Amino acid sequence: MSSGAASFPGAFPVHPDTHSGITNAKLGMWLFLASEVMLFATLFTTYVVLRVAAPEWPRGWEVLNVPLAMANTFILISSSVTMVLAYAKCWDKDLAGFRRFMVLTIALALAFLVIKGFEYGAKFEHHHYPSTSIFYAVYFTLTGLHGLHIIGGIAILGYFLAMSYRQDYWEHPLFLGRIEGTGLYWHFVDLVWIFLFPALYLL
Amino acid sequence: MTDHAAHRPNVALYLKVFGALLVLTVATVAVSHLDLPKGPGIAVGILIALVKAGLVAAFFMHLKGEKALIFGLLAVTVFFMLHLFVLPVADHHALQERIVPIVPQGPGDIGKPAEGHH
Repeated sequence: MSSGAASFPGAFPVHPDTHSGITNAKLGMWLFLASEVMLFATLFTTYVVLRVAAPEWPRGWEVLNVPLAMANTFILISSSVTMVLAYAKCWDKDLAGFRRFMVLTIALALAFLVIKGFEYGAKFEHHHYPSTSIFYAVYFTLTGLHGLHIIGGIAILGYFLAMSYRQDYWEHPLFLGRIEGTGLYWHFVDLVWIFLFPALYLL
Repeated sequence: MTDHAAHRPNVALYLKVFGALLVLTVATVAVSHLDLPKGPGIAVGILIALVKAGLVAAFFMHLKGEKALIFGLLAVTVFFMLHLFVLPVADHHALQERIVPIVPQGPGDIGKPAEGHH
């Protein structure tokens, strides 16, 4: 019993791996996220060690823009919601709804980057660079790496939004799994920020 | 019908989680204004962050109701992550005792501990 055999030439039926019940794509994405957890955990540990060892360290709100970061937190959480709603629309095979929520997710992600840009711009204007101090090195490295992940995520989201305009791609039985995988990555990026925000700005 | 290894979405639940996340974000900032001492302040901040992370992981990432294999993978990850957090600071007591002031030493003194330390 093949599931969802698509209509275009070269289409193949899709079964999840019957041994584990999980598709290779989903398992692969979780493995990738596990490696990303180690990456950010390493940087967090570095931050802790450097901060504890430092003779002095500013409180986050003394140096960083908490209202902007709080806005960014709301933006990223909202983008996680729109992402999971895009997945729900994909499940319902609601193409217009899917595209709407993908566009919203991308727009929110871009808004996050714009605000980050203002934050970084303000720092550079005052001649605060990663090389200025260990505090700024930590701040720029952590938020910069996270920002790169946002940019990568925007590229992936844009790709699938564009692909949804091809009927054979939209109707492909693997498409839902791809959107779910994209969602997993995007929620992870949100998760990292959920920890970054208090760790850098509020402590 | 389509053979879904994927999870059935529940929009009402997603919106409820969204509400909870917004409230918890406000709580995170509110707590930071309470001027708690460092230890409790960090603990509360991390605790709220863990709850938010748990909500995102369980409901948005569909971990609730996910197959055991994924949990196994995450358990291994968390196991090593905890080691990663602990190991760099695990011997900080021993390091404190070993800190010695820099004393000029002649070539014959190489290997000798500084005066007053054993």
